[in-house]
Amino acid sequence: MNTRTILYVEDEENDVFFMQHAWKKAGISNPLKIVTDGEQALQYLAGEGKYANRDEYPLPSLVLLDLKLPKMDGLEVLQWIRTQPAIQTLAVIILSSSNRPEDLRAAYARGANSFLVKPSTPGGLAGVVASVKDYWSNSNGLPPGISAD
Amino acid sequence: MTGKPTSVDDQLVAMNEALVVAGIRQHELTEQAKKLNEQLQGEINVRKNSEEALRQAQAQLADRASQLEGLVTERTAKLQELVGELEAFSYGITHDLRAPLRAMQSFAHLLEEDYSAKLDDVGRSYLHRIASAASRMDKLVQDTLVYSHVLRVDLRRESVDAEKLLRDMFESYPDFQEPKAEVIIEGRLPAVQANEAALTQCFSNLLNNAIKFVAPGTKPRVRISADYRGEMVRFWVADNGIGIAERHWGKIFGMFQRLDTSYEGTGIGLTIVRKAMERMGGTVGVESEPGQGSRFWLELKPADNRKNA
Repeated sequence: MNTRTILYVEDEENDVFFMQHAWKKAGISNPLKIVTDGEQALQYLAGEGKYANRDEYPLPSLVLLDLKLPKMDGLEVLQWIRTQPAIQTLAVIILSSSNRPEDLRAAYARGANSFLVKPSTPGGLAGVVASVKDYWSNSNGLPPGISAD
Repeated sequence: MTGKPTSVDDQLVAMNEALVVAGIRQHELTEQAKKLNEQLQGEINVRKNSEEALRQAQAQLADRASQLEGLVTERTAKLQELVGELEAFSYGITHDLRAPLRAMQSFAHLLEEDYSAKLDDVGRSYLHRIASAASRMDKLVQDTLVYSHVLRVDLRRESVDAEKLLRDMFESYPDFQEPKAEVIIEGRLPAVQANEAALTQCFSNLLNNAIKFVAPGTKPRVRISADYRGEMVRFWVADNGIGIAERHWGKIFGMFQRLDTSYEGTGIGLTIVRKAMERMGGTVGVESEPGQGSRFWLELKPADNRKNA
């Protein structure tokens, strides 16, 4: 892996904590940026407000997206991403506590690259982090508009 | 002229008489006609009345029908609203109820992982109990969700190849494979009328029970077979487990019923099977004896091959 940024959109404080913990344990050096609702996610990706500073808030090359979020839910965020020419092809992995078939269908229909169910143990989360890593190394080439360092 | 000659007077008298007779006859006929007319009028009135009554009845009927229709529409809307609310409720449970549980489990695991050395055995056992209690509650929430899903989801029936379904299931679950367990299909399993997802759930729950409820140290051996009971296909799932006393055969299908709490479980698995089978027009049952293993069965209509050929 390299220094590309990952954006994690998650309102559940504990889940953020566990993800950061698993991130550290897996020895991933890529910055993990956190936003806690759908509107913030849009602002971050659009580079609005404080997120205009791309040195501190670089455009991510992967988004981990929870589905149930305040203000604007994950599906709406995903749908918005797919309509933005600059980030249309951005890799989005849904990370949800739901494994309902209708959620899976809705996510893939809106262009999710992958759908992972939130595990209930740190061991399980390590698995999720590993599959994120896998996803990374398996995706050949980056979509245009996204810089690989 | 022949006969006795008659006088003009006589002739007049005779004509007069004839006229009187004709007059009387005419009167009689007029009276008869009048009566007939009255009778007819009466009949017409009766008919008119009954037509009016009929019209009124029809109007009432139409009124009732539209009232009923309105009622049905209203109730259907209410029912749909309820189903929608139930859906939202389940969704809420999945997300909001499970999140704190996940946190409890995860923090307990983190403590175990990172601070184990600072705790003594008692402390570590407490930690372990916290984690397993949270995990049990998580399982309960999940199973309750599956049950509520089985209750309300549309179980459309189609022809399901039970044998393929089972072989696919064995492949994806290492617990159903060697060396963990010996699960064998004996003979051919016919196709049945079922909902594939629901039937998968039923077999999966039965198989999980079959490999779980064995005496310690015993390798689970499960035999799956099928035979016909009249019109129905009966699948058998026979195990070498601890068995169930006859007095408990009915009880085990009840919600949250657990016979032996030394085995992990929520007591919802067989309730899900019973409900799913019921909704597919089938039945479930068991034959068993303590120490002799259990033979659970699922009965369903065979697939209509003429239609599906």
